[in-house]
Amino acid sequence: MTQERIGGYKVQQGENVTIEVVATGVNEFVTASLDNSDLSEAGSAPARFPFTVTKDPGQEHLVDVECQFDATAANNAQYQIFVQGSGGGRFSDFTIPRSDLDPSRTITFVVV
Amino acid sequence: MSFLSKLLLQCCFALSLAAVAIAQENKPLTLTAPPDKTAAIKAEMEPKATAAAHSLVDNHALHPNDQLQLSLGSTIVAYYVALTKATAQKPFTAASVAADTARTDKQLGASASSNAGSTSVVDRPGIAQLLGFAVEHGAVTQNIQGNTVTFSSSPYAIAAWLGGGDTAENYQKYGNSYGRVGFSANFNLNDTSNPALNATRKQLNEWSAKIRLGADHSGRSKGALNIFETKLQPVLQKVGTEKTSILNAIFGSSPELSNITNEVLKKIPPLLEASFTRDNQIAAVSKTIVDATFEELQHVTLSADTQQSIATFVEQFERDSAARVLASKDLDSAIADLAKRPSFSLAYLQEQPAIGKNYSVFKFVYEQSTGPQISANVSASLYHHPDRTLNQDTFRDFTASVEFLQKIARSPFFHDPNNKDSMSFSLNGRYERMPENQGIKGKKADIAVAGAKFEIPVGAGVTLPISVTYANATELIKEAHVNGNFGITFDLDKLKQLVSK
Repeated sequence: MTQERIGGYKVQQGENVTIEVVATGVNEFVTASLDNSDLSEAGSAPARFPFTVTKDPGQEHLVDVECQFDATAANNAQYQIFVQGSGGGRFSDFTIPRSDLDPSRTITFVVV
Repeated sequence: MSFLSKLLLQCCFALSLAAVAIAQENKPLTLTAPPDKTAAIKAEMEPKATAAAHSLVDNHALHPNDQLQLSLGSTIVAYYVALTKATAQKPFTAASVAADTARTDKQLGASASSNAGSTSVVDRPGIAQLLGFAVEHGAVTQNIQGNTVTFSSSPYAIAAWLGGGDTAENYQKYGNSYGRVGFSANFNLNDTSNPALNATRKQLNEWSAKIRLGADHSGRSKGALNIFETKLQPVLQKVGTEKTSILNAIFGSSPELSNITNEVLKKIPPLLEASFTRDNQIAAVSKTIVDATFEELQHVTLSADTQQSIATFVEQFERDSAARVLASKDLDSAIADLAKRPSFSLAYLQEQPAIGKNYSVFKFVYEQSTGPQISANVSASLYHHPDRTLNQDTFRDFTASVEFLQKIARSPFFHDPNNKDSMSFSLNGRYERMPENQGIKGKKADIAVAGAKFEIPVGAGVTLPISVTYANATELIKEAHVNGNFGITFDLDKLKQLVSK
């Protein structure tokens, strides 16, 4: 796995990818989706969402991470996304602060 | 024209209509937005683009050397939602995060038993608010020690600080153990410009330790997570999956979304000139995101099947996005109800009054907020070194106090609908038995105090408390009297939030 930019990666077919969401100052109110299906949480604190790259080269997987800040969340609360690939690399990705007007992010994984 | 000719003509007309209809059904969606709808479609993209611009600009300001953070998914979905319903323009609603400004359970300033700078006669447990390093600025009253500063912390805060922050992981590890305990110290404040300079032993008024006895009812608790899993998670999951379903239907078989993001990102850096104000940067970045994304999407073509899939997902996405807004409110409401459950704590306070001997207070604190907020304290205090010449014994006093607090209405000083700060009115009473006053001329052993307090939020993070108190005596004077107190309370958390915006 290589990081092209924040929210954009190049991956190999068959590679195992894990998206980790670290909640700070807020409970772990987060879900993730892959392409056209739910992405199951494999662990909590921090939340981990694994998936395997199944598409062909030239195509891309799309992941959406939806976060929620409840009214009691700390003013400096945030979600920090990390992306890790079995082919190597653990990358710091989007930061979603409580002040964010749209606490969701889309991450693209282009298969090469 | 013969009947046969008419019939033939009608058949031909019907067939041609059917052919047109079939052709329209199978016509690929070129995504070239109708010129007369361009402005309307861009208007629907704009809120999501502005949200993305906010995030990008603020993150860049904090970390100028890091990569720019741009997520286009929501803006692109907004484009397809607008395009799909181009004939019936409705604003695309997104879940907004209202700032928490509605709390009245947060103890600001000195505890009720401290003589200085306090307009409270009853303490609140407030342990949840002690999680994380908190600095509190005390209220000003008529007392000569009216300026105070209180520093608060907890073992959890220290453990979290050492362990990488107040993360869900650390909260799960330490929240129910170290998080039960909190400490605070209250100092006289001579130099208001630099409160930390006053944090010396000589300036110390009071220090205290509290331990929560009951379960964690905060928004960080397992109970709150269970509420999330029931009330919001299902619809949040649906919204996310519908969003990726729309994007996957359009871009899944090519790296197009990645390419579009790269193209839009190329146009951003010149807009982040340091000489531009934050608002100007956000406006410029938002407009560029809308225009550049719109332009890029004009080149995307879709099959009829994909068009049909998008229409289906868009309909579900809109329905579930609206449901998400309601579910978010339900979540906040349920977590607020959770926090209102009765809470108990024990507190130890060491008082160092300017006049008189030092003493320790052992206090039981109860609070519930179902209906009017009720706080009750029962305490006993002991002198460290009783002065026999002043009729003092080791046992100093017994105190029982209660407060009823009712929120009244939203503050008239606020025009922002997201600001939930409300005015509140409270009644309080306290009874104190002080044996050392027994038989002493000019003093009373039984002291009763009753008061009323009206708090008006006058600005974000700034509250004006006004209180009237009647007492049949004080610990030093036998005479009944009425006091009027007023001050200004600053909530530094809220002020910091404003500054960060």
